[in-house]
Amino acid sequence: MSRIFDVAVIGGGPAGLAAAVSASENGASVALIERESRLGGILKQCVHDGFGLIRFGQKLAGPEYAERYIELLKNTKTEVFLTTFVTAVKKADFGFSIAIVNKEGISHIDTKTIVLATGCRERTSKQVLIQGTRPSGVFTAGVAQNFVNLLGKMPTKKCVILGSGDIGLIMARRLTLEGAEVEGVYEVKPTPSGLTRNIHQCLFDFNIPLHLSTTVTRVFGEDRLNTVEVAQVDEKMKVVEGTERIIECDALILSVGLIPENEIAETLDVKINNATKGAECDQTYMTSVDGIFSAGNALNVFDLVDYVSESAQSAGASAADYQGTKREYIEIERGKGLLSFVPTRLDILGKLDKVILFFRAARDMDKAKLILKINGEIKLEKKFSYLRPPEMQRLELDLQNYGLDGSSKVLLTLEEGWN
Amino acid sequence: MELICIVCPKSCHLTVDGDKVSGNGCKRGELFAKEEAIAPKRSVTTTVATAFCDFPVLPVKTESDIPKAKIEELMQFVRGLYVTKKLKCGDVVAENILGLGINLVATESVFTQKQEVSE
Repeated sequence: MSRIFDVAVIGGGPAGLAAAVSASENGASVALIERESRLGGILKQCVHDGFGLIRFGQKLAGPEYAERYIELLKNTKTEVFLTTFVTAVKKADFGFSIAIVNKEGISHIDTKTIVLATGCRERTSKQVLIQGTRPSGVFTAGVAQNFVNLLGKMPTKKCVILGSGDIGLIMARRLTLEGAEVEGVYEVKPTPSGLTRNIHQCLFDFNIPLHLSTTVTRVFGEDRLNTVEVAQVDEKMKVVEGTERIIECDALILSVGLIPENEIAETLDVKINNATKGAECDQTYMTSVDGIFSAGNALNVFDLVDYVSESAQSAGASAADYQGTKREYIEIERGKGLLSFVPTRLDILGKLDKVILFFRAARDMDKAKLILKINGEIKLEKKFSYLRPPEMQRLELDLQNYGLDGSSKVLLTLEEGWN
Repeated sequence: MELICIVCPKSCHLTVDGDKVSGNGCKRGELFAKEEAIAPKRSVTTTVATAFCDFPVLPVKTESDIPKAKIEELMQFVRGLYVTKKLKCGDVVAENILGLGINLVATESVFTQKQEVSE
């Protein structure tokens, strides 16, 4: 009889590492599957620092943060499968059978539970509809980061960055440090998408202009990009005629958002949440499919790796504890003012005393108040001096004394204004 | 003087008036504001070329913050470095950079990480 793992973790980035460590520490036999030849995921190319302030109380570079977890993993009995691709996941009577391909050929890993730690993907130029030719020289920020930080190659001498997501801001600084000219960062929205500190330490420190309500409208170039056209947009995001401007450059770098990677989840009919674009999950990070857990950026694009690790640590522990016990769910309704949150549902038969809520505001808000209503009655209020959509908030909630049952209506809203 | 704190992702909005700091969420913010108002410092992270084709660059950082005005000079210096030893995370890549009394250290043990399936 072939071996059946208690937990199989798919993805060896920060979420997968934390999930595997935690599942192992909770007594589970664990398989960790990673398609690349070494662990660490995106952290390998995030050579900048700022990671780990919450988790380790220290400002670490991305690879340092990953290494802390790789060291923790070495102290466990986790079986690590590197350079291994998952091709399919099938339900089985014992749990799940994961079809894999690696240099030993085609085989399968059998497991009782799965933690999906597949991270997220960058939106590409195809998803932002830029007109013009199709020259080389259009990169996502992550691809540019891979070139510079892992391959040691510069993808540009002079570039324009579209989108003010954090990776774009980090790359604006990185490329400038390496001698390239970043002509400017262009953001179609009236407010930046990245963290305020990154606007300051990555752009303003290096005199890189940030153009809000402005977008790239066209790209030019035959083999290689040589020019882009930018233009201002109005409140309805329509281009304002007459504001077009031509910029000569050799690259356009896109930092236009991240989307949870849920290809495997979808084949298993895991329900996807409209707001997070990740799986629906309960307070134990279990998805709508019994035995399938999701964590990290595959679940919800976090802005801090510390929160990625925290969610994965819980997911790993939950997977290790999984007994197939009966659960009863109520959905948490997303009211006004909230962009997204996790968990998206509650298992009312499970533990409710320490529910970790991660949420984002839908817009900039001063003096914001998070309100939790159960059956129309306000049960909990939490005040914030200000909230910004790029800055995710974390709250620990004790929901065990509210008498939640299968018919309870739980509603979360954000309101502005308090004294 | 209005500042944005860059110590942590909270990005507090700070006001510095003489030696008074307000708007900070923690003690580190106060220290940051006082230093930023007089002599701003930054940590620098970058990569150094190596002699190893599997890992052409090694990620590094300044062990502590250096004066903001020295960043350009530091980058010039780093461009001249070439790693020929299989360094580990925390190993010194260059000592006392630019005479600042600060070391440049590796932030990854790329050369020693196991890379294939362990049996």
